[in-house]
Amino acid sequence: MSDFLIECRGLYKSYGLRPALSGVDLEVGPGRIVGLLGPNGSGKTTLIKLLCGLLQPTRGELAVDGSAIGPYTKSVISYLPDRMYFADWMKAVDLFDLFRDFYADFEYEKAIAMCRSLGVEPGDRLKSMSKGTKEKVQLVLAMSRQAKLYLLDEPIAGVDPAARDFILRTILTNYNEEGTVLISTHLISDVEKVLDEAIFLKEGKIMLHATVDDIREREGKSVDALFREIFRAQPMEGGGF
Amino acid sequence: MLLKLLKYDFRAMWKQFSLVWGAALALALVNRFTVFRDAASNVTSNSELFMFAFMAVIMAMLVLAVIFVVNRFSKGLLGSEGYLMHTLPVRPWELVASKLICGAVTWIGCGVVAVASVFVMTPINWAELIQFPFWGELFRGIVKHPDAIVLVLEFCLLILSTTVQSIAMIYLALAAGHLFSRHRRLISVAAFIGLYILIFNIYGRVFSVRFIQRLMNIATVNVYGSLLTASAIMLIPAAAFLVVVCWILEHKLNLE
Repeated sequence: MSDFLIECRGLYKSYGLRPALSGVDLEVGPGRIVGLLGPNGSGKTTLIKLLCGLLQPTRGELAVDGSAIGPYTKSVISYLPDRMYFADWMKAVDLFDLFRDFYADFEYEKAIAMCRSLGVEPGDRLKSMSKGTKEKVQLVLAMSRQAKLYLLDEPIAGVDPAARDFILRTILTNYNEEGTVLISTHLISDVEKVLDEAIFLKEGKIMLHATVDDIREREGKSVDALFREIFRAQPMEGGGF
Repeated sequence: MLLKLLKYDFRAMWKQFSLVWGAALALALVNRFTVFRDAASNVTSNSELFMFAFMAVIMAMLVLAVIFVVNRFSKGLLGSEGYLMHTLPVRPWELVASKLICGAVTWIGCGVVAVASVFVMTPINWAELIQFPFWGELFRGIVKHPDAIVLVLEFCLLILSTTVQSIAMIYLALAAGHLFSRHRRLISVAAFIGLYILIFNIYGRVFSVRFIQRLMNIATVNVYGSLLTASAIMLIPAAAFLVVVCWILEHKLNLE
């Protein structure tokens, strides 16, 4: 069995002729909180979907916990997508029942308790819930598992700063500490304080993969400052106004 | 895992169809007491309206059954719900099998409800009907030729095979559309028409006059063999379609 939880070798994914990931080589160990950082369209969501098995790589190798993507890897991955994935006729408790049936590591009582603490009524129909409440239900589903790998796709995008802290606190107080959390975001300053490692993705390529301490020590600046430096957009010149 | 998937697919089906099936049977019961009473007497009780409502519910049920099969596959596996279903620790064939079994049961359930509503609507005196000598003869016939039950079961298998083949064709058309990044629905419709023409042509060639004669010869010797052959003819392309569908979900899934 490999020492790494995530292993990618020469991973390439294209949509038609447009490459989304170009030759990604990546190794991530267990027990880490890793930021997958990059601007929109850099390939963060594509990499997460490949790890979940929602996309198939064009070429290259990909393994989670030493296994190719399949039922085993899906049983150890807890995924929080960037969109709603449930049918409106269901109630939150129906989803908890479903997760309990399929995932041995799902903690039903914890899910109910998390719902109550987040102000969500588990018996309510999803159709009657607001977008924010539905997002909380998805967060509860993802964080009520004792997974080996948590893949959280933009969990704090589109919410106000107070809600971001609340979501991050929920993640940090509920994840399995022996597992790894991979958080994709472009809101670096909000997550920087909780990260062990940072991966910078740009145009489908890994620009940097280092521990947060190394970045601070070597570059003498925060991850957020380095991110802004690397990804700063060049303003168009020669406009002649 | 397949049983667990079936549990949720059947729950979704029941949520949608319990109301429609209930409405069809209830309206049939209302018609039983309005349509035939109006015919027997001069009293009018909006029987045309009830009859129209009944026909509308039956039509809606049949349309809903087709939409249900399409939506459970396209939204459930190839749309946003696919984010949940494809991250469950199951093989793609289990997801497809669950949808297929539930879809087939839904179609057959709709057929049974449609036929049952006609029986409910017709003012049959069941007490008199049971005393009808036909039932006694039927019972004696079955005792004398118990293999007749096999024939009935084979006929049911034939209906099931036709249903499975139709649903498999819909799934393959939807999966083919999923291979493209744009105009997926349009391509799915075109693929369905193409598959229909293909199957129609293949069956046109297979069911030649000589083949039918052979089948009839089998039937005269062994009627069970002919029904089983017909079922196999339906199930072979269905199996091929489903293999391709599973392959697409396993190797070409693209939930962008």
